[in-house]
Amino acid sequence: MDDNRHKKHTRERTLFQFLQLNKWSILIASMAVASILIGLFRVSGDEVKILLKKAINICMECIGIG
Amino acid sequence: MDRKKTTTKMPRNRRHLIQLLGVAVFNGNFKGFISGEIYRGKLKSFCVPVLNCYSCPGSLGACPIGGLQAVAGSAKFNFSFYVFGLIALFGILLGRFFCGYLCPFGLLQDLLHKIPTPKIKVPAKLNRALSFIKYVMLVGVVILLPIVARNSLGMSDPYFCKYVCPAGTIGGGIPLVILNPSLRHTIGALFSWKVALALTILTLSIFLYRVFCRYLCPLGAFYGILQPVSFYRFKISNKCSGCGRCARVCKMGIDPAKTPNSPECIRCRDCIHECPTGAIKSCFGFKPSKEKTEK
Ligand code: SF4
Repeated sequence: MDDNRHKKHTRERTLFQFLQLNKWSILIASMAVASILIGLFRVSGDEVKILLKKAINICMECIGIG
Repeated sequence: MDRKKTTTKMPRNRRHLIQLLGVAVFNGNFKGFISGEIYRGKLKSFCVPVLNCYSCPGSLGACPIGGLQAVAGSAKFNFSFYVFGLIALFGILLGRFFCGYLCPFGLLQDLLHKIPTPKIKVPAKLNRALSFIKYVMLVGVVILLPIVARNSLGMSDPYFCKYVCPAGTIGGGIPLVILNPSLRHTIGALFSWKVALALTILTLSIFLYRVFCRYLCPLGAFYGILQPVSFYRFKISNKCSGCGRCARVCKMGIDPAKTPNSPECIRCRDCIHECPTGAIKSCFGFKPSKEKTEK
C-alpha cells in the first residue's frame, strides 16, 4: 500500500518537474498541433489537397525547368 | 584531468549510418530511379522533417519548404497552417537534430567535406553575418515573397525551389532529366543556373563544412529558432573544466560550453564525444541523469 503511494507520489513529482522545465516547449507544441488541425480542417481540407496535388506531380520549378 | 567518460556515447560513424537510413526511408520509392516516375501515393500529403524534394523520383513524402510555398502560392491561400504546424512540431521536439542526423542533403555535404583538402575557417564575425542569410531565405523568400509577388491569377511561384534549392536540383532535377528524354528537351537557362548553383554549393562544402546548412537553408533557420526552447537540449554540467576542446572540434563554429543550445548547432554530438570530462549531456525534457548542478 505504502509502496503504491510512494510510486504515485514520485510519478506526480516527475510530471510536475517535466511541466515546469518545459512550459515554453509545451506551449509551442500545443500551438503547433492547433496549427496542424486548423490546416487540416479549414476549407474542408483544401490546404492538404493543394499540397498533395503539388507533391504528386513533377514540380517543374523545383527541378529547374520553370 | 579525469579523462574517464561518464556517458554512454554513440560511436561517431553511427551518425552517418543513421543519415543513410534517413535517405533510404524518405526516398524509399526505389523503382522511381529506374522508371523516372515520381511516387504519387497518399503519403505525399505528409511532410518529411528534412529538405527532400518531392520531385525526387524516390521521394515518399512532401518537402516542407516546397509545401509551404505550394500552398502560399495557390490562389486560395497565402499561408499553410498545416505545413507550418508540422515543422513547428518537429522543431520543438528535436530542434536541428534533423539537420545532423536525417537530412539527405546534409549527409551529402558531410561526405564531401571528408575529401582531404585544406579546410576554410570563416572568421566568427563574418560567419555570424553570413548565417543571417538563411533567416532572410525563410522569412523573405519562403514566407513573404509568395504573398506579395503574385501574378494576375493571384498565384505565385515557389521562389526558393525555383531559383535556389540545390537539394531539388540534385535530388529531383538532375535524375529526372537523365531518366526522361522528354524533359531533356525542355531545359534552358533556369536549369543551367540551378545546376551551376548546386555545383558551387557542393564544391564549397568540400572546403567549408555544411555551407548550405549554415548560410542558406530556410528549414535549418526555422529549426534553429526553436532550438533553444526545444525538448531536446544540451546541458553543461559543473564538470566542465573550460578546456575548450568542444569549441575546437565543432565544425559549425560554436562554443558549446557557452551556448549549448545555439541555433547553429546541428546536434552532431562531436563535442559530446570530444569532452574529456563528460560535461556535455543531451536530454529530452528532463534534466540529464547524474547531473547535480548546471552552469
Ligand atoms: S555544438 Fe556540438 S553537437 Fe552542436 S554542431 Fe558543434 S560539435 Fe556538433
